[in-house]
Amino acid sequence: MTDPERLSKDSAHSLTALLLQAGAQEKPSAAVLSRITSAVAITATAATAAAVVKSAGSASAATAGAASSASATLGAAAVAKWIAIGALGGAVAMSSLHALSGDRAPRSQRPSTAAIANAARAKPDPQATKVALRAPEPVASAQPIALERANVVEAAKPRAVEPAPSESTQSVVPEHTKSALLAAEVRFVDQGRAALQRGAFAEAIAQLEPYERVFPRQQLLTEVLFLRMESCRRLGNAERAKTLAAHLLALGAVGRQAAQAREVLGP
Amino acid sequence: MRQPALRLVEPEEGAGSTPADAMRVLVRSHFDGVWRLLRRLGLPRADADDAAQQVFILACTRLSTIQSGSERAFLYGCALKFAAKWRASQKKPVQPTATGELDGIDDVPSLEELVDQNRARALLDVVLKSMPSELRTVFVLFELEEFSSHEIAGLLGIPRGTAASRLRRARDDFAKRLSRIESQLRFRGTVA
Repeated sequence: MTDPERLSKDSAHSLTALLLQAGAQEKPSAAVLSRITSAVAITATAATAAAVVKSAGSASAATAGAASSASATLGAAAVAKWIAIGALGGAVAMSSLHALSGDRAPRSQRPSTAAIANAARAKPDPQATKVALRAPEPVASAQPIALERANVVEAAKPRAVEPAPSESTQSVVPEHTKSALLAAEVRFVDQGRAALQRGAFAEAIAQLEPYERVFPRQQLLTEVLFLRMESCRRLGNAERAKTLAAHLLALGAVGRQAAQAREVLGP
Repeated sequence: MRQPALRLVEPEEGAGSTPADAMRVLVRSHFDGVWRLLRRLGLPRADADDAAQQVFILACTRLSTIQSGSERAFLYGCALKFAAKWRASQKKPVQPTATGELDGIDDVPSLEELVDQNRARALLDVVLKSMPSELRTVFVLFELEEFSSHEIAGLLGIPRGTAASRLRRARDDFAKRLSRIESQLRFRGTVA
């Protein structure tokens, strides 16, 4: 079974060919291409960095004390170091582009600069840690801390997504990598929020759908759940919205998010 | 101009590269095509920009699960799904007309004006918009994006014979609708 000749080539001077050729020659603007290239690069870098950090943690825990583990850990550290440098560079570039473009969401709807800085420095942030469902960030003393919700809701404890790794792992998670990963998360969430704000609710849900896979640290999980809940509610999917609202409250959401979640759940 | 079917990542660029590099190659090779497909399936420019970005972000998150050699199929498949979602999200979905009557015919440019490619694309979109979506999808994939009927069958999950049959019907449908427009344009030119 052979395909027929394409109309655009079959009759070069017909109206059909003219239209098809015009359609085939349309291209997106260079600005759009540039934007997507940057977004894709930083997403890939962030995902890779997260995966390497995760695997390095496992590897170092499994091989601790063994003579051969030293070289493995050093190798992982070297890889993570270069990824971190790449991630930081990407984040800085994206931040600059973003600042120049001036197309961000209203300030009130973004994670605060203080929250970002605190998370990056792994310093206490009572407001932020109330909504976290994560164990504390590994610190220099590196004592394992259980992933219990009650502990996490407590104020004045930094966050982390992985169980606290051994001391050797900490050297492969430099502070600037955390900052770059958080910057990538912020951009990701901003896109979902933008879709919600312009009324593209289904698109917002689709946009936020891969969040947990892309960002294992899930530092903005409550914000993502909130945006999903709002999108579902406005799409008329009350059941899903209620499920998300319950999840949100269980995470210890406060302020506007909690109020909205309670409203969704009803009396 | 466009990549041959299923020749996705240039070996010299894709081999041994990082995920970020692989994604850059994918964007460079397929972004235009994915975006163009979304446009021809009815998305306005701004929505096509956003949807194309989502397609590639999605590919980014699933890069490790995409089989080598099927990247193009994955990207275009995602684009088709996004376009379907977009159509479903429209409050007043476009209904194809059985008679071939074309909405917006008054806005269609004259034959002389068609030398302008933008106007030609506008007319193309008017005709495509009036077609049933299943025919339109097959037509766009074959005629504009140069997929083979075999590839279209794989992409849409239909038998090859069905894809070929849809393509025949789509070409007939397109030709009929366009000839109606052409005659109307000639008539308009005569009156003018």
